Amino acid sequence: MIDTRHRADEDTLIDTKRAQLDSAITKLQQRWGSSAVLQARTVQSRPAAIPTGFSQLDNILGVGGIPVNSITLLRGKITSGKRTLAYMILRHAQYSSPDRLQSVSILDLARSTDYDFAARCGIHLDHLFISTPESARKGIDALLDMVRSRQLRAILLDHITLIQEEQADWRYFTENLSQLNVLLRNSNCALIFLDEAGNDHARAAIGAQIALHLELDRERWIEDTDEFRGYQSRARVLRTKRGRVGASVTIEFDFKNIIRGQEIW
Amino acid sequence: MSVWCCTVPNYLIGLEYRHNPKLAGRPLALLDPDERVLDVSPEAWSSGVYIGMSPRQAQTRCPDLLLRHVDMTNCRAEQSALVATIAECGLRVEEYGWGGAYLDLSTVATTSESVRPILIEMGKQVRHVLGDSLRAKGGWDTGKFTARAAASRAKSNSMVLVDRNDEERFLKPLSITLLPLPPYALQQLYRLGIVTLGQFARLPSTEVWQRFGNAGKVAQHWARGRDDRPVCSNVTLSPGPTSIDFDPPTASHTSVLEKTLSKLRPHLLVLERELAGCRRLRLELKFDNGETRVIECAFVEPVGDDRRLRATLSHKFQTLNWPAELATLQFTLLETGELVMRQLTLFDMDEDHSPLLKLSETLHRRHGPVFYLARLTDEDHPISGRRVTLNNLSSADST
Repeated sequence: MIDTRHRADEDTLIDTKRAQLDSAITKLQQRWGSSAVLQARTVQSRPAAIPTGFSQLDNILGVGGIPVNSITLLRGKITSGKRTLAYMILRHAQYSSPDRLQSVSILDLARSTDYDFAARCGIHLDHLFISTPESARKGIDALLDMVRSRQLRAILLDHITLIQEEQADWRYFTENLSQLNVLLRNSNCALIFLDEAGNDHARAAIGAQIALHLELDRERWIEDTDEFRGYQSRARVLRTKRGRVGASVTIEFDFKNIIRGQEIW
Repeated sequence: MSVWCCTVPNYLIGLEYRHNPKLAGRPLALLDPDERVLDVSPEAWSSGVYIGMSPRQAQTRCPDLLLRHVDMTNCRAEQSALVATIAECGLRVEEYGWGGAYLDLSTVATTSESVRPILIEMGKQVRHVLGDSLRAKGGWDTGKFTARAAASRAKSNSMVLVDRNDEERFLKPLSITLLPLPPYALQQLYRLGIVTLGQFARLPSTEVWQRFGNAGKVAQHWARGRDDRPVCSNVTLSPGPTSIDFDPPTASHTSVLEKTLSKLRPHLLVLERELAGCRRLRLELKFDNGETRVIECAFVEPVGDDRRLRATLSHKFQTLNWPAELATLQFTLLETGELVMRQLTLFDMDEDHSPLLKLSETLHRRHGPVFYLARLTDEDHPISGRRVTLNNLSSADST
């Protein structure tokens, strides 16, 4: 009997406190605006990652995709699938908001991007901002400004080997990396670097500034009767802040329907 | 005038759901006879599938997409049933796109008070014909365009009535993409910072006419709430058939196609100035050996540009058995219709263009004209790089 009464008193006290809190919040909102005070449960956090399109790969990355507000390095040999994966990430970045398409960008230093292929990978070309700077140095400046603008959801730098061709450009790039990371923190943008496999010099120079490093390696071609249907690649995490370093997953790129990614385990 | 506009959003998808209820909730796209996406379900739309895409593009965007060919016979029958229901009252009815129709109420009621009970009754009848799977919207005004805009703003199974005095106020905040202007005109307007009908209506008429021609002039009248087009129960027929002689006779599809298009283009331009397009086209081909072949092109929605026409004619010429070299070609525009706007998808897409344009404006001052937007211009070109054109965002040039 005593126990029940004690519990009832406690409930009344909690209700009174809640009513006082609600009243205080209402007064503050009336005076300072509706967004001055918000209850924690009503605040929705933005997604911290952009999915890659391969759920198994997203799982091993720890955050459900590549991290936003930081730099991701995709490295691999030719036809390892790094560029295709990058395009798929850009596509998912475009659709990351439920109410409108987001803008993404390709900084095309090589001027060799196949935009038809990008479209076939699902990128909405109307929301793709393309930049083809005259030199690598101008490209770095443009990249800083694009991140600073906070209007892009993802930027793909294709690719950093071209910056290494001139020593002065490379020095300028590495000097600005920390500034780039600072700008990225509040930009709500994911920055993706493409790099060729075996470029260890670049990795050593920029490694500390990278939040995620994915290495792609083609394992085998997939043949269907007498023609190639696609290829399998192994994606390995070499550096990450959230997931498990060393984790790997096999992903499949299917030529049918131009490009379609699927997990095989 | 007193016009009621009745529209059924996602009409073709709704008809497909009615016949196959298991498809509801799944990403679905309907293909027209030309193998283009004609209508998409909301689930498919959210995956990035849009009207006008090829099946390949659509499946790339949404691997789980279900593609179905639209059953034209059934759709036409359903459309006729809908129009017949509206026409039961004995007033003039004009079809507008799929699941849409205008009803002329000028002889019955001209004020919103007098029109309301009639429209409530009409709405009940339409709802009865459509069933549960389809939901109609209605809009009433003194002009066709405002009535259509009102219908687009109405909720499902309800209607919006706009008084003559309220027309300007009602139209003012609506998007310019409600006007069936060609994409280049909409893009230009967007670059000028004109996104609402109110802004467009306030522009000087002479400048609109100089920049956008007659189509712009007509569109501005509509944006001001002045649309005096009558509701026509019969289709508009263009002047008689046009003949093209090939001397010497030819068997080259390309030359026949180009010559036909060059003769058709002026007709299309005339129609486009009135924001109308070709719905049915008849071609009679007379060959050198005396044989005759007839091609009939029926477009699901009126065609205003020659790109779509080129694709259709090219396909028809290639699939036709040519018994000899072609001597004469005669074409007749059998049916025309008002161009249908792509209101919702186009609205969203164009809304999203502005950040890119603003961004390029900011950046090109410092970095020069190195920012581009890619457009697929020739999807079937054998060389991948030639399928896309890069349009400079800071100027009108393209590379």
